[in-house]
Amino acid sequence: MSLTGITAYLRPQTLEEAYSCLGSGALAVAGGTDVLRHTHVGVHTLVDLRSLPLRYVRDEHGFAVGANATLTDLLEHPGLAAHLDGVVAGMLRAVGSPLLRNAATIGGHLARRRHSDIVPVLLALDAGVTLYEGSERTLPLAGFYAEATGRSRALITEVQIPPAGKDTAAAFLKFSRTVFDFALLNCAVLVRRNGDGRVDHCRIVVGETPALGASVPAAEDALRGTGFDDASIAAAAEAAVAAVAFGGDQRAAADYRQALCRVAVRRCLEEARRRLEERRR
Amino acid sequence: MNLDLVLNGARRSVEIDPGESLMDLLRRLGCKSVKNGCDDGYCGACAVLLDGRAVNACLVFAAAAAGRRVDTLEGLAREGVLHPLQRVMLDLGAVQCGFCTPGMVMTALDLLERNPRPTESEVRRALAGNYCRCTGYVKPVEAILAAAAEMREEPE
Repeated sequence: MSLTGITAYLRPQTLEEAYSCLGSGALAVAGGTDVLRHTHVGVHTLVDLRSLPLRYVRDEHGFAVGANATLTDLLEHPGLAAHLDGVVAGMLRAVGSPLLRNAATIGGHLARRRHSDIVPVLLALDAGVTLYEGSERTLPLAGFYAEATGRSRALITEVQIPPAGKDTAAAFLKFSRTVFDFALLNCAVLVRRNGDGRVDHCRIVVGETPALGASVPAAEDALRGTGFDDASIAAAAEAAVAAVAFGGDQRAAADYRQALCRVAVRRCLEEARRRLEERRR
Repeated sequence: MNLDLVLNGARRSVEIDPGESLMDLLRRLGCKSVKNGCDDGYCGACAVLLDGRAVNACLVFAAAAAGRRVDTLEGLAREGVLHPLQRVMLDLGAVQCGFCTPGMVMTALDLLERNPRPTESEVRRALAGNYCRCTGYVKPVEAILAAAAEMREEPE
């Protein structure tokens, strides 16, 4: 829906300029797919960030993804599409439609802080994010969501996905009414096994609880150090169910989400284990 | 504010409202193939090509098209001769009420530009964001596959 009450549309060319444009009454816009779907009280200026030279996906010791890369750019990058058995690409194919993915950017998606299948996967992969607030700083994506509020003027400039070795696998699963609806609940995991088969690092992220995805330390503690057998997978799933505060909304009731969580964590871990075992053959 | 864009191959300079969507602008300029189905990014009836990629025109600011190429269904026919995809859609009965057809055609063009030899499953995935309110999906998929073959100049 065209927005009313907008009196200016700015196209800053540099980060400094963009940051200085984002005063009161100004709203940053990237792909526009989220901004145009809502009304914005008190906003009179739109600041289009797409003139900033941030549209790239680079294969460099992991991946560096500029904030203006569209979701399609990520999906069509051969290296990223193949990374960790295609966990990122598989997830992206279930985010919106091709029409939305051609417009929506990764920076805009992460900045809106709600309804995300992307955030759980990036958290599981221990992604980092670079912000600009007068100067640039890089921090873990988990820290970004923990520390900042929606009112921050910080601009996301880049997302980093670290490299992963052959001893590491990841998996993602979402439950939703149709493939590209917002998830009723989603889950992403990453597991690294050491030489004797024990889990020496893992991330278990549960999202749309209905809160934005977050790692569940109790579930990770339950899995770490185990031989990654069925019993330890079940224990991790139970630990997640016990630790997450589920809520109900128009999409699903809290107890339904709780039931989905147990299944989602188990299936994701089983899939990660299957991928690791396939690699050994 | 003023906007310069390339619409269906022609340079245009138009006056827009800074908060206006590309869909509202295109309809105002007479491109009525750009349908307002939901104005919310679900239905795909307003799909157009922006620099060659299919997007929901309702979820793109008109101002974001500055200096870019915008292609709508109106630009496909050449001197009254339909684009092969348009003709095959008609020939194979892939059009029921026709409301979703322009959006499906533009989305399919994006697909065929990148993947001239799509499988049925790839066509279906590409059309995931294009709703047909007559629920006629089989024939559009068949038509897009047939048009792809014709555009590759191969007998089906």
